[in-house]
Amino acid sequence: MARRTRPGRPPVRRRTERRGIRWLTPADSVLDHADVIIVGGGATGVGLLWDLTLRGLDVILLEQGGLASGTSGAFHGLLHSGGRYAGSDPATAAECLTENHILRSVARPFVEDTGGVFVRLEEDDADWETRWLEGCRQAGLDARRLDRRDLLSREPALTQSLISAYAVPDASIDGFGLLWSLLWSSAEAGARVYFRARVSGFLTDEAGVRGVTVVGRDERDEAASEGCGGAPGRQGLPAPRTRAIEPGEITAPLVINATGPWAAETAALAGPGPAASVPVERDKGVMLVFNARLVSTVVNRLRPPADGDILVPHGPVTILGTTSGRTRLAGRPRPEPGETALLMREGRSLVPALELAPPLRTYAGVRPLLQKGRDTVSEGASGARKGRAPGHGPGRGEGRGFLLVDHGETDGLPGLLTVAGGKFTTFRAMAATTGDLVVRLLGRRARCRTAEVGVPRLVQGPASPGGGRPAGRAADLAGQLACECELVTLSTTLSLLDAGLDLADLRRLQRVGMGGCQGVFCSRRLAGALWQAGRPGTRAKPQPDEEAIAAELASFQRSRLAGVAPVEWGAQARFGALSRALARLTLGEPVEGERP
Amino acid sequence: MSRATTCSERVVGYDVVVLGAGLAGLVAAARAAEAGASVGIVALASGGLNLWSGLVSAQRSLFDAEGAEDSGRDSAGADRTEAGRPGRGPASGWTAAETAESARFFAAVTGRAGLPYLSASPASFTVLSPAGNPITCSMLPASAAAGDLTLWGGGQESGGGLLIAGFTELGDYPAGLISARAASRTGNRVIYRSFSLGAAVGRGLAPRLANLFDDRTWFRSFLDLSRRVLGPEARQAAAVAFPPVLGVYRFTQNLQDLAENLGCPVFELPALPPSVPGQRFWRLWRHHLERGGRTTFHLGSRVVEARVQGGKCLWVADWHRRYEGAAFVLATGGVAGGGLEVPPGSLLAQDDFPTAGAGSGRPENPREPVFGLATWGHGRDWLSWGVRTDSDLRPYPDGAATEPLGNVFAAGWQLGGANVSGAAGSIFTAWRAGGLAAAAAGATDGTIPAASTRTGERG
Ligand SMILES: Cc1cc2nc3c(=O)[nH]c(=O)nc-3n(C[C@H](O)[C@H](O)[C@H](O)COP(=O)(O)OP(=O)(O)OC[C@H]3O[C@@H](n4cnc5c(N)ncnc54)[C@H](O)[C@@H]3O)c2cc1C
Ligand SMILES: Cc1cc2nc3c(=O)[nH]c(=O)nc-3n(C[C@H](O)[C@H](O)[C@H](O)COP(=O)(O)OP(=O)(O)OC[C@H]3O[C@@H](n4cnc5c(N)ncnc54)[C@H](O)[C@@H]3O)c2cc1C
Repeated sequence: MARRTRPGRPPVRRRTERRGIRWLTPADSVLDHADVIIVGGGATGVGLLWDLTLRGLDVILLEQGGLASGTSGAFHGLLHSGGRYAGSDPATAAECLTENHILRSVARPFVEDTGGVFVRLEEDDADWETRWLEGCRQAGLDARRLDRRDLLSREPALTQSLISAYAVPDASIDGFGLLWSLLWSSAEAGARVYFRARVSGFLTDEAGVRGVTVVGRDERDEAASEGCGGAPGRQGLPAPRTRAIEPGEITAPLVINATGPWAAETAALAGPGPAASVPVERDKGVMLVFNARLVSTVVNRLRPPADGDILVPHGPVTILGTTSGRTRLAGRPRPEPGETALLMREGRSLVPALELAPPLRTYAGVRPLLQKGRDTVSEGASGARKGRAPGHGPGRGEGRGFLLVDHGETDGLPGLLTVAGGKFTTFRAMAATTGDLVVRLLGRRARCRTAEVGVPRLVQGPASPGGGRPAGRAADLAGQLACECELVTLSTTLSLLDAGLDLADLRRLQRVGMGGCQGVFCSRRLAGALWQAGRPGTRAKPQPDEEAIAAELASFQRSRLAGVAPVEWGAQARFGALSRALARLTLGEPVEGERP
Repeated sequence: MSRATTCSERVVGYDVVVLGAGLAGLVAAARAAEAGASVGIVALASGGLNLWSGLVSAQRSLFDAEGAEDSGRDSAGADRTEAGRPGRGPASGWTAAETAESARFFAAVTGRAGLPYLSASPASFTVLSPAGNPITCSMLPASAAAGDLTLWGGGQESGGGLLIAGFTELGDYPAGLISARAASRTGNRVIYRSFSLGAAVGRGLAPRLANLFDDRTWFRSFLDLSRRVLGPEARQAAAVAFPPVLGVYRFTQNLQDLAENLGCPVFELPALPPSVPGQRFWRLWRHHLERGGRTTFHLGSRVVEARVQGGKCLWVADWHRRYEGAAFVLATGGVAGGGLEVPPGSLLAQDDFPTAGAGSGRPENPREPVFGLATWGHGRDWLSWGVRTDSDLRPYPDGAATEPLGNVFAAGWQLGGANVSGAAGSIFTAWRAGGLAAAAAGATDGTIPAASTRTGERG
């Protein structure tokens, strides 16, 4: 709930925090101030951080978990060409196409130019093909017709029953790598990032919103919000740390709510009015990951968007997705067996070989979906590029354009903006539109530069300020592999951990724990290395003790298990049995779902 | 009875054919051979031995009354379990005396094989796991015996506490983390020292380092090194723990030398896989069985076919050969060992369950089970899945059958319920199955103890 400060009290304006990335604990009560506060560390929030930092603003980003711990860490990995939307929403398609071109040039290291195809099968409606082609034409998308035989010889895994096929410039994108690099580049340029920092309310006075209250969280909170099914998994977690008596306060003339699918909940912290102005719903989608590159190009089914009709080759794996269904669940959703079954069925009609390929795991994300029929793009945003109004029709027919609300206009609450909706592909455009509004409201003049400035790939993490690990220990670990499946070395890994990532981040960034062993061995090795390497006092994250490492390991294993369980058969089942044996018998650790 | 035939033949015959060469397969073979049977072991590889820490865990086991009842509650209900009986662990109702007997047998054989084990029965040992947690076991390798908490722990009066030695070359042995955890979990003083074995050694997994420790000249230099690095602290400590890599063959001697050299008890801690103690077990037991003259190993053989007629198994076959037997022991390790297959997509429809068989099925149809036996188990906990048997470990051919296969005996993780039993359960069931198979083959020379003549089913 909005908290009113005593009138007359001067705004807190203290610069106690170092620049860079910091992980809060429940004991922390931070005080900080900036030009702009961004709430939410997904694609939307991080994109905005980069945009505003490049414009020379002093920005703070607050994220309740780690980087991209919401939807942006659980998406399909597809850089849309727009083809997906051409049949239903040519304007969105055109927007995707534009962004596709821009990201290919500024974020080149993160885009794999796989290309994409749309294929129509025998059973699919031929009229839709005509409509789709017309949509492509409107969107400026050059869908080139492919020879059926050529395509089948290039992609032998595709079904023989395909009738027609078109090439589009789809690509696969390393979302986590891109966001991590944007975050670091921003931090280097002076932005401040707080992880495990949950916004619990807004600070308001007569003039409107002037900041937020922030509470630090620990592993326990995170486990609870993962929606991992309550009690059993928590045995391994340490007792809660002491909590700060007062929440931290961070102030700024402008606060931007970029909490994606949770945007309405966040807005509700400022009151029912702002919440009503944010008509965002949560739409769950499930994906299946296969342990092989079954296709070398993105394969879309040429039919009205439905379940299980896209395959994305992503690094060494192939991702099949997705499903769609409303959810009220607040935490991260879990895939259900029914959903994976549906995906398998639909996926098989595109690529029959899926039957034999072992799925590695499954995961789910929630889309921030704009409610239908609401045209809520802020009228106050004149001069700025407007987010597009949502379209009509249920489910996937709904608009994927985004929402930009100036709560000063809609609810008489200046100082608060909400930006939500959209897609990963369009995060830069969303940030550009929002950034234009931000500088206008703050009375600054700075134009958007994100379409010109290239993003470097920061895999090593930047040099840690003020020294690193003791040299001898770093040398001890040199050349050791952290993960055999993905050939990641321990020293690279440790430098990333130094820079403030946790094991779950490593999984996304370096694919540690995503190979054949699914983290059974490498996570334990990392835990040991973490401890051995010690953490220098300058490091962003708090010094880990043995308990903290155990908790981090437990949460890593829990999320791994949650992803593997629904697709455990064949070799995966065998591996599941072995890893349980290891935990129970050899290590004496509690196992998820087992009585002590 | 048929006797062992030469390996070049397309058809070979034994009194007892053991499928699987994991812990259960080896123990069953030893028991059958001691009873006088000729034994052929047909197996793909060494199974879980490579991963096994060497400890015989004293977990709730599938044969103690409480454990059995628990697994009964766990299994998804009476309808999925053995006809007419509530869902019980396969060995429910067996007595402590029999368990102790199997432990004695195991200790005797492994001692003769050159890998002495200590038995704590009926009490248990408490040692540190590779994660630094205290865990209990009923038997452990002599090389780990000084690690029992009561020997080095015991609070402050012993003063010295434990010193954990780590080698920087051994990546998967986080001595620091283990000691921190052990100190907080046991309330004892636990410190560690990590040191390098020397630039020439280079990094490696445990088995590579273990080979190095078998080299006497090298080991002598290691003695000097360890005295220099550990000496002062070792003299204060109640015991010193090493990673379990002190030789594949020479470990007993090495441990003795180290203890003398450091002037305090030393032992090996269990470690993450690949595990040297498990590999010792595999090598030494295999030599021992082969030396005994009654056992023949057919390794690298995937059983893909079985012929069952008139309620009995006549033969099993791999790609090259047919193995005839008067009796069979099914020790192929369940889902973990590869003896049970979870068919693709079976989880999608939640009421599909593993296909039973001695392997992953025929090549032309990977889903078709070799034996097609009835299974039981509990949800997605694949360790609990196994073939359903009568109380003499004889598996039922399918869900509807009332008569089990007459001359097939299942052992180890093939029985399922393994979530509550570690090696102890495998040893016990294998000891039983080996004895019963030898008896069924008519090969006993009168040494089969009372267990096989036990009558009446409990449960
Ligand atoms: C199944 C699926 C597949 C998809 N596939 C694609 C695709 O292939 N290509 C594509 O372009 N798009 C795809 N999308 C869409 C895309 O992933 C999302 O639109 C995008 O990631 C949304 O980013 P976001 O930053 O707005 O939200 P999020 O990534 O969810 O970020 C919001 C963040 O806010 C944080 N937060 C919430 N409340 C608080 C609080 N009180 N305090 C602090 N922090 C808070 C959350 O922890 C979260 O990290 C897919 C979506 C789904 C669901
Ligand atoms: C990771 C791990 C940790 C462990 N830790 C402990 C511990 O701490 N304490 C403890 O007490 N015990 C532990 N154990 C040991 C465990 O108790 C034994 O591995 C277990 O008893 C299983 O033995 P098994 O012989 O039944 O099966 P396995 O060891 O799995 O052996 C199966 C055998 O069958 C063979 N096989 C399978 N299919 C076929 C086929 N079609 N044709 C031919 N051969 C086939 C395999 O090659 C193998 O030889 C651990 C085991 C594992 C895997």
